[in-house]
Amino acid sequence: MLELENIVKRFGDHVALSGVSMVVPEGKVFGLLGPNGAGKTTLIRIITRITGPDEGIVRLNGQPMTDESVAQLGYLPEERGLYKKMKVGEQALYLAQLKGMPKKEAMNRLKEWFERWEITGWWNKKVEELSKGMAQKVQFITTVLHEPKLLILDEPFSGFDPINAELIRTEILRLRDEGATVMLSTHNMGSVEQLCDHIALIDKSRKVLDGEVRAIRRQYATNTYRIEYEGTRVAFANAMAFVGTLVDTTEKDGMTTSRVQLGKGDNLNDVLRQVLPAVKIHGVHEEVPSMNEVFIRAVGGDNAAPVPKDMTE
Amino acid sequence: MNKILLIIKREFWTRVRKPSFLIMTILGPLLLAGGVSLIVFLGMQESGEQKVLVVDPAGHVTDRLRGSADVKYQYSPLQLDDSLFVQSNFTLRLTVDSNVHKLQAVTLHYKQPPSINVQTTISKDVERVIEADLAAFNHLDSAAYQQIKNPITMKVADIKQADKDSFIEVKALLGFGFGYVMFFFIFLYGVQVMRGVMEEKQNRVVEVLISSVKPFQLMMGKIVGVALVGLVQFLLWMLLSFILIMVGLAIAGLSIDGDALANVQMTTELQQQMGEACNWMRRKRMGRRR
Repeated sequence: MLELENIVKRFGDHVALSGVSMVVPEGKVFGLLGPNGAGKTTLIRIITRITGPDEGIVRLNGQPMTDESVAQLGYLPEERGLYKKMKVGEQALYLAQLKGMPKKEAMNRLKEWFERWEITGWWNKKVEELSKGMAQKVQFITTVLHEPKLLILDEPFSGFDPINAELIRTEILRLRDEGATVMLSTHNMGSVEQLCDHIALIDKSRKVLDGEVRAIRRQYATNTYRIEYEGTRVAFANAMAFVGTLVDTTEKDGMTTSRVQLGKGDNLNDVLRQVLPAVKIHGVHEEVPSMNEVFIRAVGGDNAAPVPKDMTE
Repeated sequence: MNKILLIIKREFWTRVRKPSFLIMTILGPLLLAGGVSLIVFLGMQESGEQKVLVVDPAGHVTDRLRGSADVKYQYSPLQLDDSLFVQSNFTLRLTVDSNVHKLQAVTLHYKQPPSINVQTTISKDVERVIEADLAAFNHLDSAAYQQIKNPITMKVADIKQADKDSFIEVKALLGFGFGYVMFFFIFLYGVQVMRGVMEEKQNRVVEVLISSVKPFQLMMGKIVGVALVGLVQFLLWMLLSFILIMVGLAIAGLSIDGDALANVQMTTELQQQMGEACNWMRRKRMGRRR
């Protein structure tokens, strides 16, 4: 769907992006992650042709992007903005028409959206009379109204309360199911796990990670398992003697949970075989790192703060 | 093209629907008419009879100034103290230096500023006397000197309509007026375009717009939209001014003699006055050149 090839962007001496390449697959939700100042918004601005790259090329469906192909995009900028003095309905209609929609169709679709979100009462209000969250909802509608093939959302959840964030999340998934490709940048790792099929992580103007969310999390897995059982921890520790390392053990409601890290060549089955006679097993889970953990480890490198345990699955 | 039209439409209607547009459209001609009438009123207003004390120690101009119905002179060889002048019933004090022929300057003190008419009368009167003196001093005949001094009047006429007045100066004056209006409009509406761009940048709408249309379309739409607003406002001003003048003239015409022809007379009179004004300007120019 969208291909970026070796994008370089400099602002004076500062290099905002150095040789970033990525492919956004069609019909998926693609997460663009990275710490503040990594270059996410610059990359998005290059895709939307607000600014041009110093080097590299952006392709949409195999063709280099042109001013015309920009109309196929739906873009929700990080810094939201609408004409403050214009009425909500009028403005939404205007922006839709600028995207090339016929007036009648735009009107029908707008009414549909306004009814679905139960905001028909806002139609004749001026934008300056709306709250920030309300204006953002209107802006989201104007972004997706023309049913763009590629939707670019820069921090779509910032400024929304949990209920509205959930509403936006549902809409993004619905749009994806209807065939749109979504590229979103966010700091909210929880929503990345819920929404994204693919991610790319940018840090210090370079791409450091790229791929399917599940594969990346697996890649960062530490081969640690959580085993729940009835029995004493001493019996458990004695039984597993030579395979794997016991990380820690907690007890709660008569149930004991031990975390076991396996070394290279170790097999979970071996561990289980050894502890089976000693305790009564209730469950076994592999600990896959959360996106939050992956993010911190990928970006922070060796200096990363220890990951809190409750962030794990 | 379609998108430019959309942008033009938005730029036009958001501006025309603003209350400030309506207010300016109505106030513009009123202010203009008010300003013009104020200037005319102030220019024509006479401050009544002026009693001028001429302090002339050398007697150069004594009993020789012509005066007018509104300007009466009294001569004194002695300087009158400022405080005494303020108390006296003289309204103006003209001081003629004994060396006036060389200085070619006199001083006029006032209690209330005199009108331009009064000032012109006094300076003309003094000028005439001094000129006559200088002519005599140089052994020139005063009448001959007046003849030499008179400016040449050049009649400018269209070859195809040689018998008609060409009003070329009226035309020049109109050209100047329209030039001024043009400057004013370019300035005013240029600022509006700039403010439009600023608004979009501050609101951050521009990012959304630029991902929908080309920057050229956005700018073009804005410029044309604002230009149309200017044009409409200008036409409305013309229309309103015309109505205002017509109403004003009708009232003035009716109050003088109730004759319907008064309107026509007024316009020809107006033309004459403009012609005279032009002549006056030309003389002034020539005088300066000399």
